[in-house]
Amino acid sequence: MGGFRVLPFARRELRSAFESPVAYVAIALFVIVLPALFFFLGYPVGRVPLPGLWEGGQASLIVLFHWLPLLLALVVPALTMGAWSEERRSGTEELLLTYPVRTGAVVLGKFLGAWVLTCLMVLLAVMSAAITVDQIGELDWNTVWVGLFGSAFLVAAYVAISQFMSSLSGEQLVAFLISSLLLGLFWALPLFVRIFPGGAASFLEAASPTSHFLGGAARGVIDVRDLIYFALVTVLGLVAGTLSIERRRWR
Amino acid sequence: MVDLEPVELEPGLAHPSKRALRWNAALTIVLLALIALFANLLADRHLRIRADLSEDGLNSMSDATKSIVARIEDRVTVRLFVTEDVEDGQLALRGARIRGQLEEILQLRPEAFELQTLDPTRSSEARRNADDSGFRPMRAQAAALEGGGSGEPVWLSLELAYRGRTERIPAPRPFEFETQFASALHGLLADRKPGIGWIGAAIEPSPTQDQNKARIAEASPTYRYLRSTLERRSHFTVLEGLETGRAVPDDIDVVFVVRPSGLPERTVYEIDQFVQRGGRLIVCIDDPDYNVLVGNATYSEEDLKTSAFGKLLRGWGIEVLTSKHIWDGKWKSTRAAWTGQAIVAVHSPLLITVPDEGLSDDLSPTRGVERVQFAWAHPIVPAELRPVPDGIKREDLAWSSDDSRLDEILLQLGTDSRELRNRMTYLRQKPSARHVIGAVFGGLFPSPWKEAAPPPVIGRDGRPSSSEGPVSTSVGPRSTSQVVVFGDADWLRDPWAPQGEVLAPFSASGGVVLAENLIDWLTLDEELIGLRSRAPKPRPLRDFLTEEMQKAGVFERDPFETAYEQGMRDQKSDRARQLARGKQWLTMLLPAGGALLVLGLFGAAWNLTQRSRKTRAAGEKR
Repeated sequence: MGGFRVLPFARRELRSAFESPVAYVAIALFVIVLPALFFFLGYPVGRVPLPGLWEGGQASLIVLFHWLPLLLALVVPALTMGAWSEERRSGTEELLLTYPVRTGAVVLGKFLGAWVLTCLMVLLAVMSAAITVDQIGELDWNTVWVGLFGSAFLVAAYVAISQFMSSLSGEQLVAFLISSLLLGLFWALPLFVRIFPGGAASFLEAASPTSHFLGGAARGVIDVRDLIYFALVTVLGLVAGTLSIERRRWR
Repeated sequence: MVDLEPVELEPGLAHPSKRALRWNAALTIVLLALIALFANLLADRHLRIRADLSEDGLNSMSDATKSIVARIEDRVTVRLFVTEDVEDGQLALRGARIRGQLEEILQLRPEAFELQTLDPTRSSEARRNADDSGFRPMRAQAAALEGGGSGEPVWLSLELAYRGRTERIPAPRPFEFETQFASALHGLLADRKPGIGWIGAAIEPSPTQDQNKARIAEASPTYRYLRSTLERRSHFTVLEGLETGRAVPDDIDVVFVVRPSGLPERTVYEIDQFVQRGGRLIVCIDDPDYNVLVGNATYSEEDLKTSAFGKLLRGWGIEVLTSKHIWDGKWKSTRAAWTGQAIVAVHSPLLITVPDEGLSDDLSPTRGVERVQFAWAHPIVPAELRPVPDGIKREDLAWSSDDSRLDEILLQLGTDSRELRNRMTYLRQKPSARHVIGAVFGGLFPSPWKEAAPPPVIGRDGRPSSSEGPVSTSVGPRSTSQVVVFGDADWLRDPWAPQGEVLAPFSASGGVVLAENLIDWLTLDEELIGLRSRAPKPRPLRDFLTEEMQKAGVFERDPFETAYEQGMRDQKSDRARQLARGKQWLTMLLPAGGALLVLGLFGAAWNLTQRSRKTRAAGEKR
């Protein structure tokens, strides 16, 4: 096995993203849609719907953070669907796997590239909304920074899962659909607690990234349990992705 | 040389088969998932480390709770009545959250608590205990919603026992459990509840059969809501018979003197003696008082200026200008008015909603109070004009906005908003200033009766008598005291909403919180203020519409305006609405546009750099 050089692969991933218009369109859409939902629609999901910024009249980004897990469940698969399936389709996967490096390094490099890209996208969208709110009210910036910190962990977990899904499929669209469905299911777990019996409800809540994000970082709280949860999911996704690629290397 | 013979590997060992690899990978992933799940559950139970970095700090334990827990001397027995196996997921989560929070509080001092968990659905003894404590089970919502049935009974209640005393939390709520628990614990640790006395205004309205009169009477000052709040958490006593020589009882810590019109001199003397003994006083002067609905004035039997109570206050360096009212052009509020035919909304500058910026930051009683509504408030004469005697310190507690003027007392305050507007136009010619509505005085208060004979008591025939009543000796200041004075009593009165059209919140607007805070502060119970003030800080957005309406000169809807006036007002308000909407869009679009511009510039720069690099590389090759 070769060395464990990660950064060249991360750079390669980022470069290819910035060279294609898809990343720009996705980021631009995200920067427009997320604040628009926050300003006008509010968050009409769950038992207590939250009003939009203008309707609620309070300088807080909590509604914006409520939208993040759902929107990311759609955007992250779109950004990562080609991570492995496109390599396979274009035949560059075999070339990539013949490099004298460990498979884990390639997986980690691709993960880092997509993670940085998605974090930049979230940063741009959240900051543009935060600056708007700060102009017209007294915004709690601490909560914004902690929310962004927590978003980075949420994004990491989503990217790791999506890239694993991409490694399983040879088609970008299939990878996108499976990832979105899986992340959407994760997002929706807290909505099902009412119909599940007590023990299962607690389990579902503990397994949901939405609960961990909204109950902690989105409120300005850094909770070690949330960080461990996201770290575990991320590691699980990365290891699963590595094993999936490794399996093909041996074929 | 060593001859190396080729060794034949067993089939399948040369390299793993496709199926074996697939199984291997799948099993590893499942195993890892299980490990992750287990680690997550372990962390969830045993790694309760978190940092609440939000400015409001509502997600972390308050200092007040820590301080209350630190005061425990013996063990507190906490009996948690809870259904262990709950079918309804929502209630199961509620129970889990309460238990999580309870564990966190108990972890502050594990040696000070003994937790007993009882399940009334499993044990008949636990059921009997729960019944004895007056607890009732909740019903699972899901089942109730689906079949209209009652759903499964789910128990979730707490009982705290300490030194023979008990406090109960029948329905703990996850979002305020810490406050519920700490308040109950505070009640347990307190040797006794504070004693509150009441002198002056009637608490209940006078009964009447006439519907119209009843409606007007409802808008007269009554204090039932405040009384019920005080009764819940203190020993509340209406102090009667002070004029007959009865002293304020020793178990009274704070006396409310509300609309003290025509108090006999002997009553005033007993109030003074209470303060001399170190008793605390909250005085709410409202003289005369207007009926909020019809605007009629009810005059006091005696002007404060010439009354014995007024003289007592002036001796302490306190003067309330009862001949003037505060008009506040900025913090005015909408009030209901009875035109004779209907109830209409009138934007009245005499109804002042004092926001956070009009409440002192230095005094703890205003913590957690968002706003207080005053009506027809009198100003408290500033310290420069009425200096306090030596040994007394004054601090202002609440004040009007800078856009306030003083007006004469009117016999009748009409419901005609044009009249109010004309009055305001007239008053706007006078200089504006900030006027104090509430102030706190602390120190040794001089007694006018020091080493003098007490005033005569009121005899059975209603006349002063020096022979009746107990013989007492006047005392001078023995210990420091505190007197809180307001130029208004309406901030304490009952919430009132005529036919649900216009809300006149009064005590509901924050007055009761202020009153409770004042009592806790005066009885040195600042921990409860700390708990009560744990509310999200209000962070209102800039109101573009109101700003534009004010700029355009569009104010309240006038029930008497002509069709032409209405048309003009509609035109102006439409224009103001357009401008406000434009500003709103600009505020939203500028940062988003900036973000997109940054993205576009970055993309252009990146691609240009890449292209020039490629061109350079191609040139070098050539």
